[in-house]
Amino acid sequence: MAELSKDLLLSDLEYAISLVLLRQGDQAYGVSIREDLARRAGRRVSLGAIYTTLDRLDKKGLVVSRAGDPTPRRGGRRKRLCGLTPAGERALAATWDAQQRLARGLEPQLSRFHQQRLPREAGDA
Amino acid sequence: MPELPRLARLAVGLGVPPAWREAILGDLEEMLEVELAAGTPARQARRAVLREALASALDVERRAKDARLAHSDSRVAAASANATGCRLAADRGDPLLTAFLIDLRFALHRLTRAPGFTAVAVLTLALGIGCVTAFWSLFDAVLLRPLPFEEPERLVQLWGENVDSPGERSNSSYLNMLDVREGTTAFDDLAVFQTVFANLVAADTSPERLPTTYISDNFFDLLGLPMTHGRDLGPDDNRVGAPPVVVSGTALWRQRYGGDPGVLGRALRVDGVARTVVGVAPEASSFPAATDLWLPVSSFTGAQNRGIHNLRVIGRLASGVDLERAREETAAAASRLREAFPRENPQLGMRLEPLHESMLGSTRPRLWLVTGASFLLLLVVCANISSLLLERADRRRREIATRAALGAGRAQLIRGFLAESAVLAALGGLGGLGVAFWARGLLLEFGPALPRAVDSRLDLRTLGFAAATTAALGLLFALIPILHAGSRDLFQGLRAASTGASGRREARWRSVMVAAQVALATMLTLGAALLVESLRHLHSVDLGFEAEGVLTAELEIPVPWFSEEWPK
Repeated sequence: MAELSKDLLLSDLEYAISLVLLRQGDQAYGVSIREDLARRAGRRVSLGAIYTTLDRLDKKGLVVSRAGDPTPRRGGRRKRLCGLTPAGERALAATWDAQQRLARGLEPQLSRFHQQRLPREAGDA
Repeated sequence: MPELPRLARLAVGLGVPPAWREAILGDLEEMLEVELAAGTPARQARRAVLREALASALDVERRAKDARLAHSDSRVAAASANATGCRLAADRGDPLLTAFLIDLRFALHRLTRAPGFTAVAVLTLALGIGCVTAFWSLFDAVLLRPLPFEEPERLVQLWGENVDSPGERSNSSYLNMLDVREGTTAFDDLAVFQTVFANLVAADTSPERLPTTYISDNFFDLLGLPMTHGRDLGPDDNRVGAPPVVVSGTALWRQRYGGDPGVLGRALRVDGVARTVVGVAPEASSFPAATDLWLPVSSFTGAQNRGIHNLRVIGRLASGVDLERAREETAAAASRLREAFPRENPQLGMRLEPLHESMLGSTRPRLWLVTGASFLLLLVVCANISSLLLERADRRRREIATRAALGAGRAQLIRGFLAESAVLAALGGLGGLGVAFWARGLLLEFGPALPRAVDSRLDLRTLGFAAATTAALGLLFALIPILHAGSRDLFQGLRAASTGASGRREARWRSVMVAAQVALATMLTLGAALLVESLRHLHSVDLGFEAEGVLTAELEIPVPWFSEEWPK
């Protein structure tokens, strides 16, 4: 297996946000990304953290952004819409693949841990 | 449409780079809208938006620093490594000790890069701490420490005085003391003593003149000191016609007999009289003075003559007896002696003083004075170093501002200052110990002869004092750069450093420091000059004759020389 360069693999938050970007196409922006992370993964991430990560991905050439139309809803301010570049898609795929391979064969145990976790959480809530 | 909380806008404005400000503010507005549309009460919704704004601003700040540091060049990274190193260490869960060691290492590094400043500061500190410690060890030994005897607060000294014009103290006689001992109940015991010089002739060495103290019986027992070897002198030794005995001092015993316990029973020829060694004195007995030989008082000149008052008297109060009662009883005993022996005891009065007071005499105010002067010197040293530190903090403004911009938190900067001043103080303290050692030697050699001064030593107590002084100074000196850095916005420091506009406040402080130093130093110099002047006057007193070219000599002739049996 050829060694992947450090830059190609995404950090934890970069990976999560990239997945959201993939799902939302090029309509993703701060609030929508934040909502998705909260709803699907239960992660509470601040807008600042999201934008910092987007900026970093932008500098690495994995994400592009453009200004959306201003809406009265946002007090006249424009959205910043983000989407993955081809390089970003490749990085996302590589990271996903690496994660899969690392977890290969461990699925039974992982799902067992997850099942054990659930009843307790239901009790807490 | 409700507005974003002003604080939220402020947080975003301060913490978020302009490129994303618009986007985030817009997102926050949208969030607020959504919340309100969902029916959340306005206040709650605004609070939620505010929380999000603050969290965002903080996150941006933190991640931006991380990113910048990851890409910066090594030199800049080294400069800010102190900040991140500690934070990373803390993040990794390393104990505080690691962070502290990193601080120390960088402090040493910074100090060695300014060798001139460091050398001057350390030397000055060493001088100040050393002088104060040396004087303190003297002060402690003479004034503070209790006498090295058992229950020293019950020891008193008995002086004679003129009952009609009391004031001047005088000595007593052996027989008087014995009568007082008989006639009072206030004392456990009384003893007489006097220190002179005597000749010691031993077979294998040349004759020596040694300090000798004549004592009455149970002298060491009264003081509560156990003999090193053998026994104390007892009442039988002081009887007329008793076999001549001697007790050796510990130093002499070690020097001449190598600490051999077999010294008991040997013969010593003192002032022409062969005496048997019956004991070795306790080690702690540098009272009344460092003594090599202890002899029974019955062989002292005039001891059998009640009218010759040439002995000093000490006593131990009986338990439960206070000084007042003892004074009353001795006054009564004195008047009885006056009546019974009017020729030998004309106008005899007696005075009782606690032993410690008696030993100090007039040295107490003098010692306070010189110790106070040494603290003044320390103040001068402090002012000196403070102005050095102020100037250094001023010059380093740019460096500190850069470090702050790169992520050094306030706590990290303060820790850095503390580490620097801790290193300076520690080095100064170590140097100070050397100075104290040397200064103490000088003081003992050339200073006034203070009672118990020789007992002073650089022991744990004195070292503790030096350590405490060093620590206090270290903390004090840390405050200077801390206050200096805190007194302005560090980010503005970068701009101000180039224009030099903010130097006014520092300049004023420096003037204050310099003025304080000049004032204190002048005071000390004047005091020293006055002392030297009075010393000079003493020497130039008119003696009434031409002293130039005239020598004086002392010839100590042992008393038995005059008796019939002395071989001529």
